[in-house]
Amino acid sequence: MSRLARCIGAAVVALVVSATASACSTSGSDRPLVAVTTNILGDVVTEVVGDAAEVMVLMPAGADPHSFEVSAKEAARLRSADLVVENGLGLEEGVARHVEAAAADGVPVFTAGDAVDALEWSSDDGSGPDPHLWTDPARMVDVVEALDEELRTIGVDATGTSAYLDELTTLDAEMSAAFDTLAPDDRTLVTNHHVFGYLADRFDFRVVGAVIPSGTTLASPSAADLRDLAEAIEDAGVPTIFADASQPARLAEVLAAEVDVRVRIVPLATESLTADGAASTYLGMMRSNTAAIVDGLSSSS
Amino acid sequence: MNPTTSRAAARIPTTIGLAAGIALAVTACSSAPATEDPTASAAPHGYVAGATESQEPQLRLLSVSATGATAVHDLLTGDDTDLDSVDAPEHSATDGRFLVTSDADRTTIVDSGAWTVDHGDHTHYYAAEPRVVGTLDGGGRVEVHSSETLTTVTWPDRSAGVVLDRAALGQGEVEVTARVEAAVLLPMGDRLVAASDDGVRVLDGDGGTRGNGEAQPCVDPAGGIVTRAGAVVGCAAGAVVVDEGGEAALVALPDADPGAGRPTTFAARAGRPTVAGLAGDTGFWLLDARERSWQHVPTERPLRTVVAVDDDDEHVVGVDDQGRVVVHTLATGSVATTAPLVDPATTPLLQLDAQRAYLATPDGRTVHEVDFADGARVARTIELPLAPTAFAEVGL
Repeated sequence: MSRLARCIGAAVVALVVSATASACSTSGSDRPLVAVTTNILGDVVTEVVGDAAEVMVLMPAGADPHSFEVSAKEAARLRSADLVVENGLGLEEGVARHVEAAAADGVPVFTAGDAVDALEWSSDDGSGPDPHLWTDPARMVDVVEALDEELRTIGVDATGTSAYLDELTTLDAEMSAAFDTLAPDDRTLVTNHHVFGYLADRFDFRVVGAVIPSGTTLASPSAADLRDLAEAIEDAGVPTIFADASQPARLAEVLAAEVDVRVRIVPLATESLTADGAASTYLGMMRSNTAAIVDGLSSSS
Repeated sequence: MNPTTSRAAARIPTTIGLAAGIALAVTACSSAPATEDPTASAAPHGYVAGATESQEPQLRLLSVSATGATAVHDLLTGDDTDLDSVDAPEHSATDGRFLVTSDADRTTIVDSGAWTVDHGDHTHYYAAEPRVVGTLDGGGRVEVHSSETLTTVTWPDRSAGVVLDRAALGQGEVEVTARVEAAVLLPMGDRLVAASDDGVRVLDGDGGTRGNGEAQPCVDPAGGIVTRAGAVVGCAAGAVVVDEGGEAALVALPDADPGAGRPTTFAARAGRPTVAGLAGDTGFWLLDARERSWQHVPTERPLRTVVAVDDDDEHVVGVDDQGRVVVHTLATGSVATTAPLVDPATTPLLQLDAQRAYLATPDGRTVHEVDFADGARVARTIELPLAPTAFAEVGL
């Protein structure tokens, strides 16, 4: 299908849904348009394409990749893009139908998950592919190499590929060196984040899933409420757990008071870049997580 | 009227089809007509404008008084929010997010604005503004069940059921997508499990017959619940369990105390595969929908209501005929009991989550928060802004 035909199709959608977007004229640029679903991949793609293409990132900073949504205008532009880049492996549930619609219009779709050796998660109740591949920088090298090829196929000569591959290789080496300072027995992440399977696979960590007691429990806690978490912490022998908790200070306090477990509670950046700060780029997010993990698990901490 | 919580694991955790589907679509682009998506601008599936995602379950108590006054108590902040009044309720049920109440003529749906989406390897917790969504014609005893995409409301005494678009419901719209004649009607993913005197059938989400439409016999169907191990329908001889593949099988009740009878309602922590029901005055039944087995557990006093927690310690929480909360820990065989907390002459309203049980009655505003894992300790007492006739713990 020609670019023109896609534009017409997209314009029809725009008319149907809101009559506010004119999909073919909103880019304000003659450069090819690469639409990216998640903001982590958005940062990577922006670095890779350089000024060879315009990059539109659908997922806002701080949003959840599983459930973020796009406006009608963005959905229309997605269908007029020259390439759609998605994470895949089931990550972008909310936006998947828009990607499918673009694919049905003939827009090529690059799926990062197809470029890597994917891991599986499993629980008592099921299993499936683990989509959180970005926690391993080596797999991101695979993604960027495959992406560069895909860009060439659609006629985009990405200007940043080789520099960004160097950055990823450096990141990978830095993380290896940083984690090497931890004794093998110290490489245990007790966490309620579910995204670190690939990092663990790459850098020989053990991930111990932890359930953080809820706010209703912390209002009037008992040792029974904290038993599972305390056992996980004591079995792992870690001084720090990595968790999102709504009341981390209160949790640390009741762990000490009720079950005599003294532990630091540190959050990590997981599924979304932030608007500002260390986790506003992929490389920054990985470096800040690495520093937090090494700091939290060092025997001297 | 004691709302029972019943909701399936929101998504059958097989997501592998997505990437494959896209790959196919790419190669098919030249022949496949572009499908316009009229919902592109609407609030999407599973999403409510203004909803925020949270780090933990947004647990709330949603209550309706005898006169229809409606309020939400936030268990995390302690804040109370008044909602619009509804018809004075005679019956109620909850799916862990929505509360339905009914009188003889009409049924009202209230959205608590708090819910959980279970994605298998991880869980999302959402909070939005609570509101009264709308009404459905017809009243009487009512049940409600949800999957991620469908909500069913059933009036078993009239063998009438409707299927609602759950995404639309979350956006404030009552959209009836199908009507099914059934005593029990349960959503299972995008399909339905319907039970009538003809037996238990699996239907398409629009109520159409699926496959050969063969029914699994089920005499006098009553009571149903959706679990992550399949949908459960109570029958005279036991329960029919329908698995995710649509296979139905009767799990026959074993011989037990003749007074045990059959359970006609089932209750469990949201989505869990082991569910509980009353066994007459003898105690309670537990049905493990995964193992397809029944267990009869005698109790010291007759129970008025019972809910299975289905955690590692196998807690089962009930309220007995003396108004005491009774906690059975089946993993150890121990039983713990509170002092009488509620007037045994009133209907006990019992709800629970993974850590706490909440007991209320229509004769007062006090809710007892019970830590069932800590010897049935009363952890807190909470004052609601009204005395609840209908009572639901939500955010589950």
